[in-house]
Amino acid sequence: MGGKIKMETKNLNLYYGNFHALKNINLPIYENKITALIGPSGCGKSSFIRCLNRLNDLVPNARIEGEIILDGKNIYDEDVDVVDLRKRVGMVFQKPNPFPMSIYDNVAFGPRIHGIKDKDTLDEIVEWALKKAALWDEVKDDLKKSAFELSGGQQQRLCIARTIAVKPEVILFDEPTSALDPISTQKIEDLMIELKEDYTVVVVTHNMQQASRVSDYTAFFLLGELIEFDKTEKIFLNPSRKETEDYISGRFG
Amino acid sequence: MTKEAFYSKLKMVEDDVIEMGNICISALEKSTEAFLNYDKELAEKVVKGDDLIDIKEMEIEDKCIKLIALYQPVATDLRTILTIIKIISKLEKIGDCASKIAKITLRSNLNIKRENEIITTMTERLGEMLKDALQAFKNRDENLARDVYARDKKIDKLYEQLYREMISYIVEDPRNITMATETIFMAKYLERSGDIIASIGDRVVYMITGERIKEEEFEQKYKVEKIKYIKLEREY
Repeated sequence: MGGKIKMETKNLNLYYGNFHALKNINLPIYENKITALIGPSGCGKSSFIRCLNRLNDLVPNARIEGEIILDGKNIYDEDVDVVDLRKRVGMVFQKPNPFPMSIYDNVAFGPRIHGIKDKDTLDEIVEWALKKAALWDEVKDDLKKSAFELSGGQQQRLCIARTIAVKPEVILFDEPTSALDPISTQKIEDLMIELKEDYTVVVVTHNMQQASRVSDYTAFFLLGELIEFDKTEKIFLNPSRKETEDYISGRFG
Repeated sequence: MTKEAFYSKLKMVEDDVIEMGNICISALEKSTEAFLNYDKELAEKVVKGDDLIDIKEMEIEDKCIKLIALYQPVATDLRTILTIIKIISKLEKIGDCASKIAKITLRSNLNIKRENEIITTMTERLGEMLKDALQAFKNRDENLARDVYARDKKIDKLYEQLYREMISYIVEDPRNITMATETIFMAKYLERSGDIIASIGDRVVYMITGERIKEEEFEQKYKVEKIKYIKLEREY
């Protein structure tokens, strides 16, 4: 396996109270690649992805051991600014969650928080982000319209635009297409592949075909453990571990 | 539930492959028998039987395509289906060899009973090889599949032995030319069948392990890794 490692977890353990949710995870995330996390429900893949931008900080009783290195720096170090971290490591969630405001304001929300006030600059960012998210052509004449008037697939692309508007380095997708129809799904998948040119992408998915279609690397989680991590083609053609084979072949889970 | 349906359908396809293989064994045996006994009636049956083998190939291929389209198999399941598609195309070629041997008999004017131990032995060994190849496929038996692959060398040796024998017949007496050339042509198809059965062994190993024997051989021969094959192509 090759390429530059953008993020890396070292002996990562996550506990929710007494429950040991992630067990000693060592996983590299390569720059400008798509890494897919697969595994049955409750295997820890969503917990894992939430560690990558410290969303688990918000969960009471959650405790983390080990390190997550982003460009050589442990993101759990005391001097790390979490707001800045989440700007660098953005997240798109399972259900589209636009804010109750206009399309424009949704995308401009992040940049405004980070101090950009100039109207022209904001206009530029909004247009750029919506174009990147392949939504511009559909909404450019209705930017003042409420985000809730968009279809599910459009809302999800709006959320992606909102995420990339703050120019993150890593984008985390937590089952981004599970609530979408096949056409919207395809658009999001195309988008992910386009996004990896500029960003590092991590995607949690229950859809095995999605993992095999879009990702460069695949990690298989089971009961809080990382069972296998390899190039996606290796995982789907000839996995090393029987548990992986059984899961991707649909024999359990 | 859907997975059970997939495996039960895959099992049926696997049984079809075994059945097709057995038809091929029988075709090879019959074509040899017809050749040795100058039995044109039997030879005719072998030629007609080849259509059945072709139809079986198409049927199995269609079933495989449906399994891929409907169930999107991956890993071992995918390799199994791809292996089946390869195996049936190889079996079809064995059927062609049998049919070509039968056509030699049909075209021949040499109404003689030939007793040729090498040909008998070759045919027997080929039957055993193919039976074992099918067994290895059915039972996912890597060692047996490797063994089948290796046994092809013995068939090649038998063919060389027969070839020399026939050439000496020709040298001894030019009246033997027709008999000897017919025998050589016929045996060449048997030899070819041996190559094909060996490659079935190779595919079965691939199905089980994801690695090909041929690949291992190339790697040893050229001392290169898989990725460098393209470079080889440019060099040679």
